[in-house]
Amino acid sequence: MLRLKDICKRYKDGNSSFLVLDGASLDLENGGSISIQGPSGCGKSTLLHLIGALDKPDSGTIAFTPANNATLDIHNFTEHQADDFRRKNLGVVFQRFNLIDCISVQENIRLPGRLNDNLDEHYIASLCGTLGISRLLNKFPTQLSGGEQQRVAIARALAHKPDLVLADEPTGNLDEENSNIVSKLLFDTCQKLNTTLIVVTHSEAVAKQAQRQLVVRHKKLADIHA
Amino acid sequence: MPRTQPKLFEVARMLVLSYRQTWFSLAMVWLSLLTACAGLSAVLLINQSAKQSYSADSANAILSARHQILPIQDSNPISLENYRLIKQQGLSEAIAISTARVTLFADSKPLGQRIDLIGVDVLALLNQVKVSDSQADSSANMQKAPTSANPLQIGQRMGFNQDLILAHPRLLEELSITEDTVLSLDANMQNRLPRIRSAQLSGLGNELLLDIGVLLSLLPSNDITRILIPSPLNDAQLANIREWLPNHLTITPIEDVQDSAQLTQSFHLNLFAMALLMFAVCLFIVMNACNLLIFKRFAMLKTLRQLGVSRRMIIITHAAELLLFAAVISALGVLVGTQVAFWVAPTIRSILEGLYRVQVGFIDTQWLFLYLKIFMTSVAGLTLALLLPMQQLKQSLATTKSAIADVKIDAPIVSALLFFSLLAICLFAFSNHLGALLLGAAAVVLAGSCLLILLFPHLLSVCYRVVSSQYTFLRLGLAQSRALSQKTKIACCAFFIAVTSNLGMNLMVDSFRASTESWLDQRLVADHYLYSDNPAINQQLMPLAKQYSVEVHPRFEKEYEYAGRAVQLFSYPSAERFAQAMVFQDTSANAWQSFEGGKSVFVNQQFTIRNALSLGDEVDIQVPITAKTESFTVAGIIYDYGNPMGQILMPPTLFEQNPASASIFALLGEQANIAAFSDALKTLDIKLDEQLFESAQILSGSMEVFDRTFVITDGLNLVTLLVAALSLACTLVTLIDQSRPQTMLLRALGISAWQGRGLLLLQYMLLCFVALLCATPFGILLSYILIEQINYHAFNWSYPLVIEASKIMQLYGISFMVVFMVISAPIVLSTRKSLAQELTCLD
Repeated sequence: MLRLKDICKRYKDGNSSFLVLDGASLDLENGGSISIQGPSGCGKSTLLHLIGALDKPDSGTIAFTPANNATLDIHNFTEHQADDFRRKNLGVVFQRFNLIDCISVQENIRLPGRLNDNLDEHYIASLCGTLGISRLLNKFPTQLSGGEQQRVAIARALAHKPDLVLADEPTGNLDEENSNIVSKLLFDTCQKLNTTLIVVTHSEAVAKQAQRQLVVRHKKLADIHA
Repeated sequence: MPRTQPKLFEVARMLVLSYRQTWFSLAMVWLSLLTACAGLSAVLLINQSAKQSYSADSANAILSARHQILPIQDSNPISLENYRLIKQQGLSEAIAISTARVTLFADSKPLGQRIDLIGVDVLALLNQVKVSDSQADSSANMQKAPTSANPLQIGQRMGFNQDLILAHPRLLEELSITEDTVLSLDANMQNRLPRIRSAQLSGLGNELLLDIGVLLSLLPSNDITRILIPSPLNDAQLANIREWLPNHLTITPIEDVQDSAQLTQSFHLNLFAMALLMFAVCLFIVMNACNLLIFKRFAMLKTLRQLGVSRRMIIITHAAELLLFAAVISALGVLVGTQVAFWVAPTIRSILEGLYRVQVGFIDTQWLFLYLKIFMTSVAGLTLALLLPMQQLKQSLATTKSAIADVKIDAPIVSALLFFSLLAICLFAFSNHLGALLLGAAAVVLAGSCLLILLFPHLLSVCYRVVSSQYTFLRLGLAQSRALSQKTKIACCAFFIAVTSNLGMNLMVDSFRASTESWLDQRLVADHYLYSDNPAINQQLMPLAKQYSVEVHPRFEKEYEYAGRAVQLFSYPSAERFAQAMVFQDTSANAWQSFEGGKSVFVNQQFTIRNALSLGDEVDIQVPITAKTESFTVAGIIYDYGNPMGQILMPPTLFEQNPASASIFALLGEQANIAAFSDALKTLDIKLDEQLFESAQILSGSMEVFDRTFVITDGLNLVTLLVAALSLACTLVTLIDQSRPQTMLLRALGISAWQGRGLLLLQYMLLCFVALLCATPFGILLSYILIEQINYHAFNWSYPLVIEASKIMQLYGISFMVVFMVISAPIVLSTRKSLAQELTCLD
């Protein structure tokens, strides 16, 4: 379970500072999915960075309890613990720059498994089959289309069987058709694997595929229909 | 024109405005160019200084003389009566010289170093001034070398007289004294020297110039060391002088000394090669920096092109910018280079003085000429440096590529590889000229660079495939290195050149050292060597040695000329121990039998190469004992490292075996007998510590001198390596921004900051490793060329190439350490931002 309580985050810009999140809270069961929407600069990506231990909140707590494991206090992580958490428990999909250009698709997908010493070839083969990228494995990222690259990124994010996947505008660079295909694959695969998914998006169509639709409003998280 | 000018101004203004963003790349261009200019200036100045000094030494330190009168033996020096006689016989312009090395005191404290006093007959010098004055009108149109000293300069311009000492201002600075300082020969300040006057005299180094009368009164035990004859003498005049010259004196043309100057040529050649190397490496660095500068400016240039600015305009503004840089930085480079040359001057001086007994002066040079030389070289370098990026700029603007480094340049590189390879082959096959051979060596290194550029990505791909997938980091590093290799190729070329040259020079020096040591070790066959040129003492040596059962082998010698060149004609015993000690390059069957029988001779490599001789050829030599010319077969060619002269060895029986005329005696015998004999030698007034040496002492002394000679080369090698590593660091800093999204992606996958830094370091170290691998065969090839081509034609000797794996490993270690040290700082500093801040680059 992922639990965020009263998260505050302020950024400094020279002598001035501005508050991005002020008391944001969230409860999300394992295997569930949520989408987060909101205007640019409202703090969506900041929230994702905080959950992914890429940044620390100024106040508030972030706790994550993977299935059959002890609770992790993400807000209190040391740098070393944060690295461990991202490597073992987390999968990420960004809008662009998702893949390492100099290695093949196959190497990209295998990389998290190798970093964790838990490479499962059978699982990866099945994952690639699910995502329809088996024929692309020997290609290099620059040889793929945007949609193909994002599908590979999803495979890479799920390759080490993480407990939590964070996707920051995963379809932002894609046309509508590809956007639908990629987002559907992302949600369906995470559901099939019982992986918790948080997607930050501007796309209403993508957001609707999540079990819960949230929005960052007045520096807090709220249900989109509230 | 009216349309062009505002555009040109606008483009130039944009370039200046871009300095804020591109300051680092710009600083790198300046730093690279400054390093190149300073290095080149320093080496040119050191070379020029050493050459000036050597010519000054040939003319007895300061005065430009054509002949000199010397005592045949030190024990019978030139007397005042001899000097008077020489003057009376018509050589009125003869100038007596007396020299002494002393410790001087200022304020009762000794000066930091021993100083050479050069006593000159001031009256004769002033007389010479009058002669020069009278000749001045007739020779008004003759150009004189502006930096060479002559009596006119010393006597007239410097106002030299008996009450003055002339010293170079740099020496005064070095000794921390002024013209007002009173100098004395003793701490009590009793034996005071005349007043000091600062004089900008080339060739005047660690010396003080004073009147000979003053010197002899201060140092009564000193003699006239030589007499210089400034005017040229023809053969008839020389023959006439030899007739009336006292028997214990000899007159020799100063040109004769030039033979020994060949040794210093090795030093000049060494420095010149290093200067070229330094400049070549810097050229690549400047090229790399220019490339990166344009890379940084690419977005701006692309916008300018979209706004209708022509490529020609961009090239003109860049050329003007670089011309301006060259003008300013060349001046700075000359200043820095001069300072560097001044700093290293004491080391160079001690090496040259220790090795060749030459007086090394301070640098007097024409600054404008030097500046122009450096400026022109910089402009040439920058033009070359600009060619490649501008070509890339053209292609990049023509296409929609955003990264200029992606441009394929394989065809020009292959052409360049073929051109340099063919050039090297032709030069080595058809030329004997030293300059052409050096160019050939440079072509080999440049061909290697081209090959490196071509092979770099492929070699890294092979490594990537070979490394097992379980080594995730190494594979990732290799994959990223392969991607980087196109962008870092110029910097890697600079590193490749530095390592290749380093390896080539090191292997050559090591081979030379090993050969010299083994040759000396074998040739120093006797237990002890006695040096004595006193005929009276020498006569008593043999009977005395007999008393103590010590075997003495005098080395007989004869002044001899072969094909118009002076050669050494020495005796060599054929006793078994001596025969076994001889190291031959090539020898015929029954060589020793034929040698002992007086039918054949042994000659050194230098002699055979100069006279195009080989084993079995006949040479006509005047037999010392009969003075008749006879034919001898060359039965053996011997190694004779470090000797600039040709040498012929004959059996002692062909010499008039008079120990009085010998100067070196090999001693063989039991240790106890030699010890007793040594004690007995004291009674003959022989100074044991100065004249009697054990073989091991001579060997270690020689090798010490050898090692000292190459200290500067080692230093320059290391500097070149550092400069090349700096180029890599420069590239790294520029490319770090570009690779940031990929690095951040890895961080998001859970790779720690230190692992990220390690990965970055690994990528560059892998690039260096591959460059090192490529440089190894080229370094070995270069050392082979240096030994078999350059040494062979420059000094007429060669030696076996010794390839020691430990030496190569040592160089690998040093290179890795240097690169690690230089690039770790930008890598550590590169990831100081927080991860969240860095991640903004992914948005």
